[in-house]
Amino acid sequence: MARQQRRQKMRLAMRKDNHPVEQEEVMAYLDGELPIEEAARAAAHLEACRECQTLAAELKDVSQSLTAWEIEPYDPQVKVDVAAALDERKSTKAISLGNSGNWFAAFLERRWAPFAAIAGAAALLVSALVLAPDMSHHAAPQMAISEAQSGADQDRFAVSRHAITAVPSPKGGVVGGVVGRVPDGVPLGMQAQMYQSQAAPPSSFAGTNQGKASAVQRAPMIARTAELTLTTNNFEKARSGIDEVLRRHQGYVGDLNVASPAVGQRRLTATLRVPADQLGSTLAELKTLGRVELESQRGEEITAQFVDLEARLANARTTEKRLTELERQQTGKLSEVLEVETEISRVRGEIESMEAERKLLTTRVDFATITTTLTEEFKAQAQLVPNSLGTRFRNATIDGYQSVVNDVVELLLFLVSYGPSILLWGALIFFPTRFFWRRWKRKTTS
Amino acid sequence: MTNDEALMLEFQRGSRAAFEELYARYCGPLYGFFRRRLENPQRAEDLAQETFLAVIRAAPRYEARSLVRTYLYGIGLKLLAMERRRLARDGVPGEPATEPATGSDPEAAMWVRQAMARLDTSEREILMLREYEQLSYVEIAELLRLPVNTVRSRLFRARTALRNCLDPKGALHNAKETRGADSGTPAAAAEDEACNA
Repeated sequence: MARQQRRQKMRLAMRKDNHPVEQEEVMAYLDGELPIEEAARAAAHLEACRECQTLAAELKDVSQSLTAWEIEPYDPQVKVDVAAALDERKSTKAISLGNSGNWFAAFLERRWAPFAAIAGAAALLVSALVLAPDMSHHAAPQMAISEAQSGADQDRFAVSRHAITAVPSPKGGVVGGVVGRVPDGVPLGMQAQMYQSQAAPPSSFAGTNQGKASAVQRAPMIARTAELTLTTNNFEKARSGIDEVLRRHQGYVGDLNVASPAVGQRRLTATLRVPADQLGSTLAELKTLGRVELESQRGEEITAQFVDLEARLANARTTEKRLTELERQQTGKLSEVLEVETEISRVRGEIESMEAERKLLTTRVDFATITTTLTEEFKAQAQLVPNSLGTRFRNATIDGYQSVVNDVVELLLFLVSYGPSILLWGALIFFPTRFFWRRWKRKTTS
Repeated sequence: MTNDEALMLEFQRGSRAAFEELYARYCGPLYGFFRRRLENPQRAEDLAQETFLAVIRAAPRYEARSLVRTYLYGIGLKLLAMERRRLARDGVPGEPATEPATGSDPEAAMWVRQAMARLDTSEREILMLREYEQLSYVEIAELLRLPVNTVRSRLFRARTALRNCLDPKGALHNAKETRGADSGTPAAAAEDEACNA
């Protein structure tokens, strides 16, 4: 007990002010964990300081005493299970290489191989379901005309070869979405590269890999928007027609407002989102719902914006990685550690923000936006039978009563709003006026 | 002498000899790693084997981002956590400890075990990784996902706590008194009090 108390006193006495080397640093020096400069400083201090020599000796004693816990020796021969696993791995590798080549063996050994297979099958199924009706649309003369009307830009990319991916529908389920479009004449191998590049890390997209970058540059990312104003004489039918068109083209309603005044024409304003490759056919079908008052289309190329965003995202990720490694490997003051952590938090916030922006850009490319306005043809209806005298008298009474109430309320509101100001100005003007009035009156009287 | 990382890459390319070399280097340390943390020597042996089986299965995905030694003990820690969860779930009572057969000083070994058992779990793990597995502070920090400074502080606390109990004669005396006694007995409580003072 006395010895422990002595140690306690010694520990309390060993402060930073009389020991340039902390106790933990003495321990780290003994463990060989100090950088060279600090180790030299610790060694110099240890030579001179008796307390630290005692501490070092005790720490060595602790380590020495721990060696008493020995473990029985272990047979270094490879056990049966491990040997069998080695044999199995070798044979699997040999069979795979013999049958399908190295890439297939590597694919089989991946943990995500089953998931990738399922995803591939799902993508094939979805593409089959989506492309079948799309091809039938292209066969119809009306669709051909609509495609021709959609401009030269669309003609350039109006190809039936699309990369289809599963996109969640806001109504639930899964719909097909176009990730990218491929110009005619591009070899299939190049197409695969282009699709990979669109989903690849930003470094390849930003142009570090010339081959991939050149392919990507040929596939611009275009955010398509269209505006359509229609007038219809059967509002209900046109309204349900819009839903039907959206359902056929796997689109969804972004925003929808219907105004139905008691007297006058009804009006529907909607923002529709459809897969970009089906914009032309969707517009053509929408135009059959009424008389076209206005039609416009716009394509905004956001490739540069996307590439810039990807590059900034890659840089931010690299910075985050470096900061994390720095935090993990370097030792220093608490304030420096906190500073690094603050910087990491800031970089992570930027990364999340940029990822959200990237997702938004991708959605803008995958889904075209159609702003539709549907107006009902106005038909004025003559009121042949006037209201009865009693009804008119009752209505006039109610109107008069409401008018009186409104006037009283407005007067009260006026007084509440301006009363204090009127009182203030009244007081300011009244007393000087009375003073001068009385003075003038006295003069005139005298 | 080929380093561990080169051997692992050779094994990844299919070299059985490289694996056997790695096995020879690490089967003993890994067995010791599990043996010091588990009561049952057979389970310790099984888990050491399972670590190598996991290495074989994961070899195609191996990337030389950290030392092989850290990689192996990382797998070991995961297997150990699974084993402890299994024991807790099955409600298996602690099996009687088997004393190491070859210790030159069994009583001192027992004292060390008892003193280690009193340490905080995290501090004990760090101390054992440092003293028995000879890992560096950075490797321990990487394995336990802790900052290096935290590792150093906890290691110092653990060693200081052990130093306070480091009175060889008294410790051995206590060990003799408390041998075979469960914690909670008056002898163990007295020893706890002495070490915690």
